Amino acid sequence: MNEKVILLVEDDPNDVDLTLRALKKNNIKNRMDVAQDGVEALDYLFRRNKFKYLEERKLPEVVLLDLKLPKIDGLEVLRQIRKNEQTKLLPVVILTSSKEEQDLINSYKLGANSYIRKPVDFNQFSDAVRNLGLYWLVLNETPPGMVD
Amino acid sequence: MKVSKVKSPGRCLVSNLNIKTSMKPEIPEEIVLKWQGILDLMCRILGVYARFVKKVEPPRIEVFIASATESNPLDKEVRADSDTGLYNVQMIKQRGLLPVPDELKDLDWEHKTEIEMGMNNYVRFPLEWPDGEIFGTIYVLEVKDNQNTSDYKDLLSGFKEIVERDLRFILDSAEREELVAELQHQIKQFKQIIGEQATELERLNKEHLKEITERKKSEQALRYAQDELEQRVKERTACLEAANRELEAFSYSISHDLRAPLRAINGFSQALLEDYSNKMDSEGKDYLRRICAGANRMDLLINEILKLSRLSRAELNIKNLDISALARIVSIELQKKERKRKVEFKIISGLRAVGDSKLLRVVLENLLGNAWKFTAKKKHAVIEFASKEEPDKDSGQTVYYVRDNGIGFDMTQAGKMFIAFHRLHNEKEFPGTGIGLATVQRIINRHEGRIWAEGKVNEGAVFYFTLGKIC
Repeated sequence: MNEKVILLVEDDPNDVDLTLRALKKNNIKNRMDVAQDGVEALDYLFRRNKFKYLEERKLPEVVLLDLKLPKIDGLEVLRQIRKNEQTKLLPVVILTSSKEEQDLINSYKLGANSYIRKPVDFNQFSDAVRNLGLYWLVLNETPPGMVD
Repeated sequence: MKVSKVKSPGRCLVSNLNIKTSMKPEIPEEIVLKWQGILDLMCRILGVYARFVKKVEPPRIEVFIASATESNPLDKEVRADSDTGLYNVQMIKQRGLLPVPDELKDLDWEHKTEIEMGMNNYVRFPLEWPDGEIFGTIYVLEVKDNQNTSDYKDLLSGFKEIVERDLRFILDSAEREELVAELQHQIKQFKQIIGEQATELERLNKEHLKEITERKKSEQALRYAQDELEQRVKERTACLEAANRELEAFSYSISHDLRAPLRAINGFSQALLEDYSNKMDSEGKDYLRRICAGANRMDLLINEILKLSRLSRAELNIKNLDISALARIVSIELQKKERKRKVEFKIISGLRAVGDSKLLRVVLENLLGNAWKFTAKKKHAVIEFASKEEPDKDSGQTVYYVRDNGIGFDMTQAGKMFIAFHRLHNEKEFPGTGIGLATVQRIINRHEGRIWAEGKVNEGAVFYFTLGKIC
């Protein structure tokens, strides 16, 4: 299995569908797993609880992380990812509605690799997703040893 | 011998006694008695007829003490004296013993009692006060001429010594008394002054005390007011901080949560257009496009509102800057966006301003941007940036202005144009969000300045602004 998986952490099903649609529209055929809140995202990444028996040991190629999430918010998820030895080098892209200065600063401080504001206009959104896919799934080389 | 025989009793005024004397004290009674005693004793020892002490108090010469000898023709108590002062003057001038062996046997003198009694030999001896002034004379009347005997002279000298010692004592006492009196007077005055001063001091003290009490009272009141004010400031600050936090939370929420539904509206409308276009007629598609545009428009408005709210909260970075240069940069950017348009910019060079360069740039982008926009239909558009020659009447601050010759506005609407989303012109004709001037006003307010506008329909508009003293 050499498939590059994307993890989308997003609680809004509309946004999930629109992201999927944008991927499809841009011919990005990689698998996209979705975590609907912060807890699920961390369980998925650390193979805990309902993801304990997930056979696949490979981490996603990139995490698209929303900031406003139920249970544990995006910034906390990012902190946990960076704290963990296995995931600390994992590429994390913040994909969120706002570009509040404080969010930008905090995200980069905690080690986000990129920050993208989700445009309201779907065409722009689609462009953003295409660029994301192109960059993180094709151009970018992940650090070695990302296999658990 | 009866004194009543004397024809001219009482005091004899001596007009030719030209001697000046100062006021001298009275001779005390006991001294007078002592002198009397000595005088009587001497009479007895010498066996003379009469002796006197005559006191000279110009212009008066009086018999002061007369011996109690029976042959004494003059009585002290009557103070009869017929002395013309002639010998007295001579004696006083001489200041020594003046023996007169045989008194003038002048007819004028005939009537004199003593001469009638044959006492025409007499001796005078001056008596002096310690200061050299004459007190009087010792005066001895004799029938015999024995005045030159040494006994006579010795006794007279002795008496003179006693009298003059007493006089010294009297004068000293008097001086002492005078001194004491003067001292007492001075003490009294001093006491009075002290008393007055004490009273004044007491009054001042009372006043002072009253003042202190009043001051304390007002200080207390002031402190109380200050405390209250501080408390109110604290409360108000807390309120403001809370409001600010709320506002931040609110705008954060708007920023995140309001966009997601818009994205859904826009995204799924777009999806409909793409996936189901063959199932819709052109009208249906038009509606969907309008839905998309509406969502986009709302996104834009949200963005603007967030920008406005960020401007209100962002910290100011105040510097002294070249606002003309800033205006020039903005004008160049406007020109770049629409190269086809020919607009004449008249920007005065070298105007300085004190403010946040980022925010002032936003001000100029909006004001010059508006001028650009509202001169679109003008053949020869002119946009000016300068400052008025006269500073603001109220604040004394420089008045900057942006003037254009565009479509202008109705002055009755002038107040409304700074309200967010309030537009004076049709959006189709002049696109915009209606938030630009609200933003400008917010920035000017934060600089503690003032903004106002003047205009006339079809004759252009002028926007004036000042920047407060916030250095």
